[in-house]
Amino acid sequence: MDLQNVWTVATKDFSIFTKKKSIMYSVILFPLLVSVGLPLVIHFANMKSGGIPTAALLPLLNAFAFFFVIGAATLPVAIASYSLVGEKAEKSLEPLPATPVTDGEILLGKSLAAFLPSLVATYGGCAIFMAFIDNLTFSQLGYLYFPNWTMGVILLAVAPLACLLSVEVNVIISARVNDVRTAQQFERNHDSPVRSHLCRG
Amino acid sequence: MTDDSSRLIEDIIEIAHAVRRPSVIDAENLTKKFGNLTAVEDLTLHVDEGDVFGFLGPNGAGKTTTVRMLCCLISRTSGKAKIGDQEVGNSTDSQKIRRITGYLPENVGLYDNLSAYKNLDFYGRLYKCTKEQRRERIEYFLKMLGLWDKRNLSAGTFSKGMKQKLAITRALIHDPKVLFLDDPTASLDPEASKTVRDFILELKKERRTIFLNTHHLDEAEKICDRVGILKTKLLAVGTPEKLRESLWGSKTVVQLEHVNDAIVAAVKRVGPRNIEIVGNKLVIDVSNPEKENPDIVAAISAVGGRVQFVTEVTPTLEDVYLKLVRS
Repeated sequence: MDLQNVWTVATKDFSIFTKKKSIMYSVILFPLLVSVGLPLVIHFANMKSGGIPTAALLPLLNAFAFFFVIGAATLPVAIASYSLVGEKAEKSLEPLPATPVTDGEILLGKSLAAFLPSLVATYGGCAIFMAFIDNLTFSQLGYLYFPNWTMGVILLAVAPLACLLSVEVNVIISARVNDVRTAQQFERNHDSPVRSHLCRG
Repeated sequence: MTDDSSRLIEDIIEIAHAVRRPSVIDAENLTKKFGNLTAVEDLTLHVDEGDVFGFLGPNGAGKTTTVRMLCCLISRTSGKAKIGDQEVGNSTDSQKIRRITGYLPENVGLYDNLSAYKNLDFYGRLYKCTKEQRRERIEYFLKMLGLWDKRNLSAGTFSKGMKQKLAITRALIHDPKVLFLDDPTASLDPEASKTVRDFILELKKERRTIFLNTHHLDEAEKICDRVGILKTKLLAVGTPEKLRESLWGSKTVVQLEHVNDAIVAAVKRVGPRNIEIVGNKLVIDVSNPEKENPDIVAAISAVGGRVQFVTEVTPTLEDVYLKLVRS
């Protein structure tokens, strides 16, 4: 496998995503909402009747951290479905197999193009989330709660795995459908049991 | 030097030239089936280096399937094919074939969000062209096609003709020996078609082998050295002139004041031939017009017919095509 070809395919997809506002918004919006919205919940809860007790706050913060796993599994849907099904629908995928690039290189390049931005957006959102939470809880806890081992495991293992799983499921679905929205719907249906399980947890 | 001897020398040079050129595309009994449907059956053809080969046929005749097989995009059901020395269908050779061929699909397949330059640069990188080669070739072709000033505009803002030119340039970015063009002038206006045709003629001067799928018979007649007519099976192959000669023959049209049975009978007596009556015209099949036309005119005059004009019917490639496809 020629990794240079893989990177060429991936960087071309990056260039396209930066020009597609719908994809950019969907990748940026979720991490931004979670990273700002969840600290706001803590902030407003603290303002009411003495705030959240420390015993309840710590499990809540860990539970909030799992939203980034959901994010990592959701964000690649927009990119991967466009990258494969979108190109198939726009017929721009047709000349690509006529080049010396193998199918494996094309798929890996496209997977990478969906995986990396999703993970970067997740990490970016997570950094903002941790900074806000530490700022809000330092006075109550007396120490910086984040980063901790839970967040470490989430960021270095669970989120990348969830992202990878989502990308690969999307690749499989994309091979069988010809419409971007259908691919996204299938992918979200596939992910929803995982997401509900994480939310319940 | 007499005319005869100079013509002989020209013929010898032409033959020597033809003998020297190796065949670049070779297909032997190439067949493709999709389930029970046979798309291409027992296709045997050879295209010489530097030739522009026109592949004609109605919709669904198997032209695109043939090109897709030759470009190693789909597998063959049976038979074999070679591009240069590389065998189509062999996975190692497939990569080599893709390096020496350029392919323009029916749908241009450009990235609308990327600029013209970036579209070409992307493909140049996949073909492992150096940065310098990519820059040089992109500049050369875009200037040739009048798109250099628009190189930084998104391909999505281009007209159909501009997109088609850009897609042809994409197929040429790695300087391929063999170029497969699948209906390059489809849905283009006459001016854009002419630009694309002129561009193909420029490429022909560079001695590239071009395999051209087309519905435009006049285009094939103007551009192609040889044509093949396909309707699942290859119906005919040869130069447009040879196809016309072998499949159409010669026809003489005699315009008369009036046509009557006596005139028709008189013409038939000159020799067994097919005669078609169109108004006051007789369209007569002849094998040797120079020898037979005076006899025909004499026979008509002998029974009182008054000849106004005698002309020769020159069949177009379209006539030959329709005769073959309809039969």
